[in-house]
Amino acid sequence: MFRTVFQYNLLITLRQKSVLFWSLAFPLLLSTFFSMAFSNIYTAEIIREPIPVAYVAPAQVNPLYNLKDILGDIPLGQDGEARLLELHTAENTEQARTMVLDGQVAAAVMDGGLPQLMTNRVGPQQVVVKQVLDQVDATKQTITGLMRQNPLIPVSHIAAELNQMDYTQTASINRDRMTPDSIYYFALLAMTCLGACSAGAMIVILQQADKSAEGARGAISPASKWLRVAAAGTASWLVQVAMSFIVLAYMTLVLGKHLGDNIPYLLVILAVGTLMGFLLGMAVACMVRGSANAILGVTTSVYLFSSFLTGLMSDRVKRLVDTSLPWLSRINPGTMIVDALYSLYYYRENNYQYLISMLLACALFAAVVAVTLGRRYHDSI
Amino acid sequence: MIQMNGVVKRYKELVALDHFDLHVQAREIYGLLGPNGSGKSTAINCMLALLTIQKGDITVFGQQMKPTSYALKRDIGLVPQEVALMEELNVQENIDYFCGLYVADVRKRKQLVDEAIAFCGLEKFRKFLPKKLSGGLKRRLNIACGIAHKPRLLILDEPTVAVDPQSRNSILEGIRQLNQHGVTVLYTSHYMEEVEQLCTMITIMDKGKAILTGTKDELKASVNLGDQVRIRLVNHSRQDVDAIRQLPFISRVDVQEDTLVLDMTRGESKVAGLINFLEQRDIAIGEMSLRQPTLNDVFLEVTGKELRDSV
Repeated sequence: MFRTVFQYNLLITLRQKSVLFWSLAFPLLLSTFFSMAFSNIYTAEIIREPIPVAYVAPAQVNPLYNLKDILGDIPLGQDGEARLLELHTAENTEQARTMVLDGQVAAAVMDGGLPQLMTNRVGPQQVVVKQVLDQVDATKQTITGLMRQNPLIPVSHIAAELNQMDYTQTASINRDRMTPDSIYYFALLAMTCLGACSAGAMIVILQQADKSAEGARGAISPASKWLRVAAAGTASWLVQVAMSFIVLAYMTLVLGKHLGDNIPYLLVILAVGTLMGFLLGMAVACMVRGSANAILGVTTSVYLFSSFLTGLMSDRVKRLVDTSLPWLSRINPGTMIVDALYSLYYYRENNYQYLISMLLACALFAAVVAVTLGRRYHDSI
Repeated sequence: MIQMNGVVKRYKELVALDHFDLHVQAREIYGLLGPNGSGKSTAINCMLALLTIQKGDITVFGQQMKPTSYALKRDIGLVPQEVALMEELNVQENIDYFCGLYVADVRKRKQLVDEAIAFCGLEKFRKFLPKKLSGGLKRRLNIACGIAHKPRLLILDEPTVAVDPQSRNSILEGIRQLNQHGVTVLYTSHYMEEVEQLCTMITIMDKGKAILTGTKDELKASVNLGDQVRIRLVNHSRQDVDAIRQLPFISRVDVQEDTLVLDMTRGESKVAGLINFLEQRDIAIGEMSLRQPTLNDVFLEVTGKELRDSV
């Protein structure tokens, strides 16, 4: 009987269109979207057009150092003749201010002593202009310092050396050199795991006499409730795990997203995370009294609320919850899965505390199911 | 086969079964007749140990029925009122799945499934999903899932609701055949015509109580109902109507415009006597029809109201 129930529930789960969509098609589509959106984020040139900048000349021009020429000579891109900054001369600070406020220019540079930068908003263009000014000033200070030490060094040599020098090296925050956008893919995998709660709820609905006619038919058969639930639940959960593995394979092999070298541990997190989502759905369905539609509605609400609190829809929410309501963060199933996946990014070694938390949560949900499903008689059907 | 003694089932303030008794013998087709909300489905769910009961005892096959009575459940088949099918499985898969809860042997089960499909006339629809089936075919599939494992006791809870007449006749005929093969049938319905046609023993219930129990003739005899005649007279007077009232074999007369509805006493047909009487008084008969008493008449006589639905 176990085998029959198991085999047919594999078939039932694979034929449920809602399961196929939310557990497979939706994550595949979203990860493809992520790939398209983030594909060149670390290599692409963010600025493709010259940035218009107002320039106010100093009261006294320094013949040895012309900031205007330096700013106007910075190339846009690695080849080509275009220049990064398109300078517009302003008579005075007030005119420059007007040009910034009118949107004619992205920023205004007032030359004289320490250059001043005026902007009315913060965006990529403004950030680039400030970076340029900082770098120009840093280079000027370096050359000046070197000239003081050895006045005979030709300036052109110093400039050439500085152009080839890197002051910093990029250090990977994680051991596997994942890029920061990996977080979004992990978040999507966490949603996929948590989405197994709908499948868990359906198992209870289809096996409980007071929740469906199919459950009543099963309840009057000689197959015990535990056998039916175990067989059907195992089949459905395995399908959910397989789908999460397929999503992971798609991300890494098809989209080419590097999600770390510790794939076996990642697979374990996905399997346990899916189990936790599945058992959460079963527990909710056992506790909610009402029709099948009401149960699925409550389960979906729990899933969406949990996802929302973990920042899967807005990362600010997670920080807010972690700081303002840390206890909620600790008991939220979605947060457990997300933190376990994020730990692959932030920690240099496997951090098992998140996995243990998930296993404890699984045990808790399983206990709720065991106690509530153990009722044999119903008050009403 | 089934014994329910003094069963009380309450849903908070509502008493769904009020000291309900039911005794079904082996090889009977036992009808449980009552209007919607009378407690028929509740009685079945209690009988199958799905519902808590506040009082009474229930035995099936001579043993107390409990949720863990797996040996008893092996010989029971249920066709629930609500169609209970897996929407993602086709006809053959549905029957095999539910039969698989009773029969583990794959080869034996295949044979049983084929027999159930043939019995219910579903050969052409083996690969159809339930959503592609008509209401009547879904009901047949619902029945096939309940009988495939060859139960000794088959419980059908209003199996012909919203079913076309052709499918209904097919279902009723199938039930007769099962009974002829030794299956005890408990059949619930609010369609009196089906119960009259099919059942050897009948219990009429209302508001959770068993009101009358017996064969259909016994039930009709218990309320002294005979034939009913509707007659439209061409030329008659008030005195003629009063005279008809006085006839010894007339128990009640209703006048509906120019038509008289006459309830006759039980026994041999009194129609000839009525016609002779009318001829003697030179009363011409415009139109006349005869109807034998139905269980609806019995129900009306006992409860003062009609079975609310009819075919």
